[in-house]
Amino acid sequence: MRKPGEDSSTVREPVHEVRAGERVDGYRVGEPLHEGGMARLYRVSFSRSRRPLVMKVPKLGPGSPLSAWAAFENERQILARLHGPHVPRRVAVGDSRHRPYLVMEYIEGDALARAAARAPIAVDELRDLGARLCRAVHDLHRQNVIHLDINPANVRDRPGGEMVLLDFGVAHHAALPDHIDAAFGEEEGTTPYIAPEQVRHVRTDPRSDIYAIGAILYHLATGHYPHGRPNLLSLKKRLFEPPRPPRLHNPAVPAWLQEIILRCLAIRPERRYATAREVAYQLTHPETVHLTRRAHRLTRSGLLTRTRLWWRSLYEVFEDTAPRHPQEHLTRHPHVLVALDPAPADRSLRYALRDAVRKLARSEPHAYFTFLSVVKRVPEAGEDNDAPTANSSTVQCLAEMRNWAQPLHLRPERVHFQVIPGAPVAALVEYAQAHAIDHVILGARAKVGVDRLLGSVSYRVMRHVPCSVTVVRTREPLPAPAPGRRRR
Amino acid sequence: MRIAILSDLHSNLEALTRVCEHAAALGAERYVCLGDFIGYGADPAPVLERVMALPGLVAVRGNHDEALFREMGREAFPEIRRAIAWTRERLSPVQLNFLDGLPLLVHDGRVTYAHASAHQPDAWEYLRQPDQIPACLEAAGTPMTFIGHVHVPRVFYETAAGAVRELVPQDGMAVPLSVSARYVINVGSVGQPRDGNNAACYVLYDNVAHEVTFHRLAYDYVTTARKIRDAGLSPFFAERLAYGR
Repeated sequence: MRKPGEDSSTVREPVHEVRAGERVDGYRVGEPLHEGGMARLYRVSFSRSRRPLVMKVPKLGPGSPLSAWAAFENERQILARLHGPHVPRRVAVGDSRHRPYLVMEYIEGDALARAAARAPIAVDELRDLGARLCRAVHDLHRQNVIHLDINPANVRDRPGGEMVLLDFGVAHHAALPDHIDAAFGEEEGTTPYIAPEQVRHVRTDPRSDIYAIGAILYHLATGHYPHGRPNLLSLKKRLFEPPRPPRLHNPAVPAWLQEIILRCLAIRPERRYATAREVAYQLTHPETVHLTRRAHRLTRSGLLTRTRLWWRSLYEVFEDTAPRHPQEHLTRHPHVLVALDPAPADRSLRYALRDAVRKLARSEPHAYFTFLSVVKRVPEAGEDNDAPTANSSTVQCLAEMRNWAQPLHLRPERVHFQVIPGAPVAALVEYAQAHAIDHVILGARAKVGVDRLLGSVSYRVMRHVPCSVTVVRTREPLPAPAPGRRRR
Repeated sequence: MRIAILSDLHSNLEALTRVCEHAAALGAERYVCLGDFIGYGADPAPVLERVMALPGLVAVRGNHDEALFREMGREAFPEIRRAIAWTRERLSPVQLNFLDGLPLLVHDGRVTYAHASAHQPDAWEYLRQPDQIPACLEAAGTPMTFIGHVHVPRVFYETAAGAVRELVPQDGMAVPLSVSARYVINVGSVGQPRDGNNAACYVLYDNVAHEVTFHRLAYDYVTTARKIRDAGLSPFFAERLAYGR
């Protein structure tokens, strides 16, 4: 290890090359792993640890791009502020004046890159990979960082399944000075995955990462890039031409998947999904995807449309309409879970619940809602013919929920309806955790029987979900209608 | 070493007291005041007493301080002129002497301190937009310039290609400074913040770790406002403290 003060008086050329077998500050350099435009990666080991590590060394000196240093500094600063399973753990940083390097944990899995190499892949595998990627991106945005260069080569995975995002050379941290210059001449990101606003040098919109996710999904589903082979024309084309529908390349792509992909790839950021979490949700719950006309399109957009979009692109401005901080952007697009009792005992509570949802929908115009009913259990097929079958009761339950929500007049893409089997508390808590729900709204029933001993459902949900919970209560229940009386 | 950089105190004793306590607790060893010690507020003498006792003080002159000795420009509001005249009667000769002797610019190694801008410092230009920054950078001749005057905390920085960008700093989050870049840092205002946040604002500059941290501190502006009204100064000066405008 370098001792403090050592070498501080002599000015040396920064080390821009290390060789296999060499020792750098106690790290034994192994085989070179990868050489990119800005940096080289080596496998390294440390005597006291058996963890596999990589060392990133920026390309400096004659013949290397000017921006290599800026990219390296950028990555060093951003990585120091990131944590969690979706980013590589930073192990050591070399003295940036004399020995600039970065040692990180080595992440073995490259499932996404391998899948991309054999695209098109099966829809189920795509859903799984896509949802995992979205969760990683969402976690990054939560930490105020926009990646801006998401592509299969920059995504690895851990044995536990978590995707890990690599290479923060052109990333943007909302609370740090941004020294990355688009004016250097090199293009940011990797051509097929660059969002239209990135072509125009906007670096502050988290929805640029949503576009990259869309491009990756497009490629996984079809084996083609959204705008054809990467070149300068394909770069400009994304400003005025919607990509060809994925089903044109691969008829096996379901309509809902085409809807998701094309929404991710919208030219204007505000037309895309607002958060990666929403994309993950739709990929895991295809039945909740609101299909629009583009879901079924099988032809390229018409000449008229393309001319109109081209004309518009000439004066298209991508201003920074998104809030300055990705975190703030996320809080403006909360995912709200509304728990509905499948067998409502109390009408007034249902009205009160709807009122609570209406207030929230008004004050949070970008919130999206999942209305969830937990049914006790799903009868096995062939079991007890008299009991309503799982299917018909689920359908009826969904119908009732839709009817209940109808007076709210929420846009269809803002609402999802779900019926899941299970024990009420456990199922709600698990659902809220799995989908990173921001806010739960549920009604509190009058305490009866077992509830009095164990605590009510609302109380137990409140104790276990990791987010805000609104419990709706009514002052006193309306008298239940008594249908038998009139007959007497 | 940690240096606390304060600006635009504007005779606000409550805010200054809060800021000094906070900076001392975080280990500030030296203090820099970027001018506008007086004006608006009702505690000019106690504020100056406190400022002049700060350890290792470096201070520059602001437009309000200058107005004590020179006629203000024609654009100055009558209420502000009246506050200046009111202040003049309440300062001791020693305090007036201190203010009269302040320089417009101080160069200290890699850093320049100014009230409004290093470029024509006596023109009192408001540096609000990135396109105003290059002139200040060139005139300063140092990688870093600390300013006040606008009452809005900002970090302006120049990228390697020469473009100037701005960063809205977050409370308590350190902003790392690159050795190779140039910065103009507006430290906000202690005594009359105008960015919509009514908390006092100051900067701690760590010249070893090479980073700046903006701190926002809630203080008792109700008392400050009451003193302003009791002194017969413009009620607007009192009111705006609550809004941070």
